[in-house]
Amino acid sequence: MSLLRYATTAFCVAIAVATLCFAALQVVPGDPAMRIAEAKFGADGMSFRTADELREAAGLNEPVIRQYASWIARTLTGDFGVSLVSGQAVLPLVAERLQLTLLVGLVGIAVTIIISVPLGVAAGLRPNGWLDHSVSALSTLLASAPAFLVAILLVSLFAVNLQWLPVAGLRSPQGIVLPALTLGFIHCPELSRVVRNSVARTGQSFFVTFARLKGRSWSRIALGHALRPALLPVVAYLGVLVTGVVEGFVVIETVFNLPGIGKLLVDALIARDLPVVLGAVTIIGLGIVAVHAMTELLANLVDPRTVDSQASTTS
Amino acid sequence: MTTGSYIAFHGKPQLPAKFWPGVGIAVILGLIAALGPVFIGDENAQNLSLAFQAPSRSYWLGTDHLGRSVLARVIKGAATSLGLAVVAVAATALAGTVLGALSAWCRGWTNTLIMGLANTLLACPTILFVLLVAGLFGNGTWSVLIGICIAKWPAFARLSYIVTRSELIADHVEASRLLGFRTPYILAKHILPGVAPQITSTAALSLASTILTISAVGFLGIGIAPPTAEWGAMVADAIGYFPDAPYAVFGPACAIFLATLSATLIGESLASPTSTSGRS
Repeated sequence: MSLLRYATTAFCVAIAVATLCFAALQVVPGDPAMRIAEAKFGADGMSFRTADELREAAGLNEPVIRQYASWIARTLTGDFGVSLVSGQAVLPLVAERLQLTLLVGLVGIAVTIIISVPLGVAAGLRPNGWLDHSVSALSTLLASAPAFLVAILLVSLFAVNLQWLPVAGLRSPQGIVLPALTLGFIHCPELSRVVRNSVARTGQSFFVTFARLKGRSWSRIALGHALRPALLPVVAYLGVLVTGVVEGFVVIETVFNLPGIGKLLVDALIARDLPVVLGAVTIIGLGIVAVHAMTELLANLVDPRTVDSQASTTS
Repeated sequence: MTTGSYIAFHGKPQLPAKFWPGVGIAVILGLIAALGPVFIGDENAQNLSLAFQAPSRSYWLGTDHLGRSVLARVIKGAATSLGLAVVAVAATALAGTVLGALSAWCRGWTNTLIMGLANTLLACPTILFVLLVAGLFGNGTWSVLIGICIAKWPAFARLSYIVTRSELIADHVEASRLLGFRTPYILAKHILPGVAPQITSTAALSLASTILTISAVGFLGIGIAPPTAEWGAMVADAIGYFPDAPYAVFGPACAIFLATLSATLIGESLASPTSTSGRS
């Protein structure tokens, strides 16, 4: 049931994103064909004749409603057209760039989880203890640092001073280490806070007090009673985390000059490469919906009670 | 979603200790943004023979690759970056609160439409909207403003919707209606006091993330057009020369950090009711 609902949502999101982008691109001031010509041949090499040819080739002189219909039809069959600048097909281009982004994103999320879950649990077990206060202070500081500042500091430490890792680019596999670390670090404050609050709240619940009154050992309470209820908000939070990661990699890929989907999107926006922008945004949107569907399924596994009350607990 | 603020739980406002440092930084930054431009000269004045100076008596924060004073540009940038962030958050908070309250008040189709849209937009990253709008309509203040508004109103709408809905079925609102008070009076007298504290704390936290978003967009070169001094764009200009001339990076980067820290501290102290419940 949940899967069907998400499939519908994904379908609607795809249509909505496509429509929104299409509508927005229609009202942009300026002639897209001229911009493409400029992007392709430079301001000096372009002429009205090349612009006319490009317009013909991209179908930009057809009626708007027909362009829209053909765009939607093609989107639904997974065909996003060809890049107006390089002439490559959009879907393979996006897919190729997506691999790197997924790799960096997954490693980044792993870094976030490895750092913030233990810290959050430790802080939540003793609310208002010294560890809680230090983790909270560190979180506030880190949450206030822009992603590029974290990147700069990591680069200057590991790449410039210690020279363990490359500064930027992807000439060797080590190139993804610093981007992934940056991505992981900037999301630690949020996740550790969610974990800490969840653990602290569970620790105050009656069943934990009761288990303590029964004389259960501290570790048995933590693992046997408190872990599962404390996990639930954390699992539900992973969807939000992924949205944040999307926000992060657009900047981070630019800082480290990684050819991922974020860099692709920024470059395409600057060149006004219409099909690439639409394709990349649609794919990112679908990815976010997919992740939210997966976190909901995961949340149902951790806590079957949520299956009945999805409307009130999710989103 | 946590409901209730510290004030609502305890009657008497007892703000955490971190509130005052936050306010202190905010006041200082506000004064710098408002009065600073009076004391500095032309922030775009170039002097290539003085490029990449370390901090000195005449250039307190050093100079950048064009020999411009980093301090002057940071001060000038404060007005741009902070002003834009404050306007964006104020507009967003207002729009979101009104739409959320409207949604709870009207119910039915209006509710389905507004909250459905809000829930869909809520899942999308802010920067995508800003990039989209800026990419479509060109770089500039307005594009950043509109992109942030599209992305951020849902958070306020949801909050306002939840609080308004629970207030509407409360006994004192029912009584007020039975006594014959008009809708605007009930909204101002009973609904607004319930919504306001939470909107305030969310707005402060939203201000923090908005400052970061604006600087990120400026950094990507898609926000406010050069040579206008903007903190994110300043970092982007200086980052190419980073290992040799770190001063031009650290000035604006620290300014972004301090502004965000101040908003975060204020937002967190308004939001945290007890040690166990966190922000939504």
